[in-house]
Amino acid sequence: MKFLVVAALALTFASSALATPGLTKTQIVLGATGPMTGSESAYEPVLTGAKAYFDYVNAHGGVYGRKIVYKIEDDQYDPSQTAQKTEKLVESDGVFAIFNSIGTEHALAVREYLNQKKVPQLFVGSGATNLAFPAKFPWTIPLLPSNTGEGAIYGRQIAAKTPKAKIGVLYENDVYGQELLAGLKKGLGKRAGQIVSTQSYALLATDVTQQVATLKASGADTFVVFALPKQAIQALVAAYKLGWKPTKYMTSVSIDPAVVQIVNLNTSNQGLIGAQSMAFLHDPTNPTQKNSTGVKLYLSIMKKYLPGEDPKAVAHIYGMMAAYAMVDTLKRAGKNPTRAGVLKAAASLNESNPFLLPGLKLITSGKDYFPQNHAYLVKFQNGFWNVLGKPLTVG
Amino acid sequence: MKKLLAAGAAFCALVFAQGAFAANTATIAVSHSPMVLAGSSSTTIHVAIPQSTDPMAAINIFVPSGYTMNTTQAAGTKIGAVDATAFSRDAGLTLPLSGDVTADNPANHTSDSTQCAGVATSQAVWIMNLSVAGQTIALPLYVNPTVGAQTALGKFRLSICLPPPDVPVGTPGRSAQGAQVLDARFTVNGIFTTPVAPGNQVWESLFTPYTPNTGKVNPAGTFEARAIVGLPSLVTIAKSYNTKSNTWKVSGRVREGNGVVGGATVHIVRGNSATRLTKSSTATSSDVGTYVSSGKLVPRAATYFRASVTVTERANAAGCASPLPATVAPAGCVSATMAGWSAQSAVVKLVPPKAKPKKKHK
Repeated sequence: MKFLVVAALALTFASSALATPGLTKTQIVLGATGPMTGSESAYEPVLTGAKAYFDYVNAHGGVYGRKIVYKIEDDQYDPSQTAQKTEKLVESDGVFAIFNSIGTEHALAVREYLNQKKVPQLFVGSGATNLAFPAKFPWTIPLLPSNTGEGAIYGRQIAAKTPKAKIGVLYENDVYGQELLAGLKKGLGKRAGQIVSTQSYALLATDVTQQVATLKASGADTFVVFALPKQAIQALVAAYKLGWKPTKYMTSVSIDPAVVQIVNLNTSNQGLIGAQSMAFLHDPTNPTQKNSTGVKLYLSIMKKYLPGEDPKAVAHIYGMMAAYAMVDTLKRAGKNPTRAGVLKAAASLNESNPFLLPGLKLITSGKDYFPQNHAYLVKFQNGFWNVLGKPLTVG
Repeated sequence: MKKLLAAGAAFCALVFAQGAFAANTATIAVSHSPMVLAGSSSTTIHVAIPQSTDPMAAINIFVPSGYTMNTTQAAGTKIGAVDATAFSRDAGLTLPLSGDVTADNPANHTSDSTQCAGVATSQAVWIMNLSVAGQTIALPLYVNPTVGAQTALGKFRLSICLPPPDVPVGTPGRSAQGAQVLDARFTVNGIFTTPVAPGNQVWESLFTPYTPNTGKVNPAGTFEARAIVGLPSLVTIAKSYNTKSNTWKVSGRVREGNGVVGGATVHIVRGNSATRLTKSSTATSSDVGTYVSSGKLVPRAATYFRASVTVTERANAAGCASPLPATVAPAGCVSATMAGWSAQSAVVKLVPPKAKPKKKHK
């Protein structure tokens, strides 16, 4: 009789574990949304890079024998589509967790829904401050360094290196751009008044030339670009064509080698010289990093699992970094993970990640959901973004 | 004064006339690596079209009759790579495009092959996978043997058709991003075998533009451009030594087909072993292609020398002589471009003899 009770209890627990959506004995199903097509499809490699890393892990036995199935839905970078596609992933596809979805407005559009459903919304491709809000939205954890923290790094750098700078800022008129701008002011401290002009653009704007002309006319000698790749390219090309040669600071999401290549092609290699930014990922195109373990692993995965895609796109390595963190989290959640167990593991990271620059780690706690608390300042010299000094605190 | 005014007016008229009838133009260059007879592991075709030229609808490139082609690659086989730039009218930017060239099954392209090459089942179809920032455009190239009057232009015809970039956004068939190709350099491996006879091989090409802003092909605007490949192209090397002055001298010639290349920079490297050539010097080839370099050497120390040269693509002013008839290229021959190429000489060994001892005076 005792045996029967124990067996029944064991069965109950086993069936409860197996009843977790997206989890079977052989697979874990994760879902994501992002711009696979459309004007912002430059971020598509974030998703394909993550998938390639999962393919690599699956080929090496998966996570405790389970293969990771990664279902990607194209939202064309439209938050309303993000909501529809996320609901489909949860309700119809029955994913275990949403992982590595792209965009701030997009994550905010589904955060409440996912938290109500207690579906982990992990390692969101955003650095929005209110996405790391464990008290109210415990199921949502971002992955990018906080926007405010990144802006503050540039502010402190400008205040320290060029204290008389007259600063012009181009920013995206949404949470992302506004937080970077707020961080810049915070970092500038008492020099925040030296911002002589701020110009914004709407999320899907197709031309920022007029804004750049206005910034030039303001007399600014320092140009801070808080823009996504497409608008960042336009801004730098516009500055070049206007004959404006300010000191430049670029947000870290727009320093991909593909961006560099397009800017250089349209500015006779002048558009980025001396520009500064923040970096946390290895750059596979930088010859000084080619022998690092992370770059070698990255290139080998690209060659085997994404042979048709461009390995120069840093968004791929970002996707792999995110996927590495996800695999680490799943492993730490144990052989029979639950959604709550995975969330707990994601909220207690202390991970060395091979795709990050040396000395950087992903660290989370129940109180601090931003995994990236340190990053490097980088400067564009001799065709590459070169690391300057030691890691700086993001914040 | 009156004469000056008249001259000025004539000059202005000329300038305006040139502006009004700005001719379309393009260049094509072909090179092999190495530039040898009856061989070649890779062939590069480089097409450059100024942004001011009307967008191209079709480019047909004719492979000279001395060449042979291997087009038996299975579908999906990577046969080369392509690098290009295109001006995106939507973004107002020049964009870099790059990717692999793969063979495809001609049976999958009967409709587009008919439309572009006039042949339902091409002998081969190659796909140029042009990608930028995560987006890929697959551009087919059709390979066919020439027939009829076209056999006078070459043995094979390579055909590419491009969608119009300058029609309104949303027009069916408009190129992605309103992209207008400006420059494309594509390399294929193991496809072409060069002729056995030395000389200049002329690759004819025909460029057919669109009438601007209409999306309509303009056959009357078809023009000819030529790529000239001198085979073999090489740099020779010979060595000598002057025992009196302990001076070495290497000399040679930069040859291209049956001609020579003047003004080329020849790099000479030397060292104590054939595989460690660390010291270098340069010389410039003369009008008859010759070069000379010299220096001092320690007697009896064996020294190895090798010359190398890189010759850039160059316009050939006389290359458009005897253009194709107006029925074939109504807009005439606009350019002839000599191949750019690189070559290394053989390694030569020099062992300076021991200097004769001076006679002692008794």
